[in-house]
Amino acid sequence: MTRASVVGVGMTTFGVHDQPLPELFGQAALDAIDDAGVMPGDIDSFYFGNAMGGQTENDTHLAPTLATEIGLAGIEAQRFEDACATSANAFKNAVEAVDAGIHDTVLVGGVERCTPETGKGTGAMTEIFASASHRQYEQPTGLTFPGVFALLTKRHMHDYGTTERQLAHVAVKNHYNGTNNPRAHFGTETTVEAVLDSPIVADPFHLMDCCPFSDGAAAVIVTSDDVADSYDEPVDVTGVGQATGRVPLGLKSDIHATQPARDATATAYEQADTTAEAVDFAEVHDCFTGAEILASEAIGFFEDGDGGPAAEAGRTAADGDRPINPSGGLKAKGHPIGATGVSQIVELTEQLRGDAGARQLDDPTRGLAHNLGGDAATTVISVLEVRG
Amino acid sequence: MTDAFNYDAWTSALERGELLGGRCQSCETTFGTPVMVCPDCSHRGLAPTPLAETGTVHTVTRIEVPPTGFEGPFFVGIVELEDARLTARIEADDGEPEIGDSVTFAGGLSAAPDGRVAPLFRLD
Ligand SMILES: [Zn+2]
Repeated sequence: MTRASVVGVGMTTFGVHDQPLPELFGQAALDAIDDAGVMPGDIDSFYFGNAMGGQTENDTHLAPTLATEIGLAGIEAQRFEDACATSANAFKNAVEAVDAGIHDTVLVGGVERCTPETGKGTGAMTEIFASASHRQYEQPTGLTFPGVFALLTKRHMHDYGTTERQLAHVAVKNHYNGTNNPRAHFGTETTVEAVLDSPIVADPFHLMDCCPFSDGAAAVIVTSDDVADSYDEPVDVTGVGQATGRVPLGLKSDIHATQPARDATATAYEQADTTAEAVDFAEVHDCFTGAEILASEAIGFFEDGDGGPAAEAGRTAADGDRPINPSGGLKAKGHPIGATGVSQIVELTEQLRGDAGARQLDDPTRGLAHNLGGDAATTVISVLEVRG
Repeated sequence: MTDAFNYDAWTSALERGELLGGRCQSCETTFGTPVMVCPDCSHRGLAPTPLAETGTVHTVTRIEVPPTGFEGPFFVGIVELEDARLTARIEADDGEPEIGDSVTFAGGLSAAPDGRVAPLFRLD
């Protein structure tokens, strides 16, 4: 059943941007407003995500500032922070409010800057990213974010025989997809050998297994099912599930299951009355190559342990039977933390409208977005469909 | 009211070279770090209990790009001590710790720039 509809999308390129957050976000938001053709006076509320502006740019209380920038001061606005799942959670709350009849039309979006444009280099940004691991029981060990996913992936490799070469295939595939995405941070192909020859960040991850630090913004206009009829090409949101898991890692019972993703997927499929088999493609949170393998199993595209071989066999390529990350994913499209979740919704919407240009998949009718935060202890799963 | 098993109790013990976990007085599960409510059965209040000082590596990574203030490279892993697990530094005189290897508790390590302490294990 339709819970809400996406009627407009906007997104900056992901990469390096020197504009301040309000202007960067304004670009994506005004594009979404124009794409929908919505009158500013018809927007009831603003659901906004930014994960780290306080730490990276000494910039907080952004919701009213951004609303002012785009002429929406005065409306309701709220800001979300759930690490890398920040703007998917803004999207979830927006869908729920619209579905509950609280609002008819809302703006949802996220913005973040993570490149040295913030004045922070790799060491400082690695420290800021590590703030999403447990402050008392993990940070004092020096655990980094690549380290967190390295721990999950190493155990997956141990239990299922997943190989570094299979991980590298994820990077190669996503870089190739990125060459077809004019908004992608990286627009160049790579090879398995180049990935395996790049320096280690946290084993088994080489530099080329890791997504980049990016700047960017993404925004969508969400309306109720009824209101959506007055717009061109609405795409329906039929399921949104969210779940959390235990933090720190030592309290999780099965670390590579990424259980919140499984729980949120079950919720989303139940709401959408669908199954993994009926989902044509997915945008998943490939902050590291191993994270895409874990996600591909958690969303039910592959049996546990089959994610690595499936990636190596090309099954997740744009022309494979289970396309994952046609946008290039976080790996190639880029990962401006608070913008990533909504950028996945932008990709799903464009693919389902048939507007994805060179990266257009073959007539998909149903797509899934998987956006995780922290050590996967927050995951939001959204199912979008061509309007029936 | 008995003394709460909290961060202060856990970290003070670690600074003294002792490794404490929390044992649920209802379901008797042991956890490697304190929590106010048992994650398994919702019982309030875990009792401090000495953790096994030897265990195995559940998973491990070699961090080559550390956060600001840390000297790399180093190994961080999740160690399994009977039924409890916790995130720890792992040191090896030579070679690399691997999943399934035996490790022994070697005290608290103050490697963080603010001096906060982390459990240290050494490869047997
Ligand atoms: Zn219990």
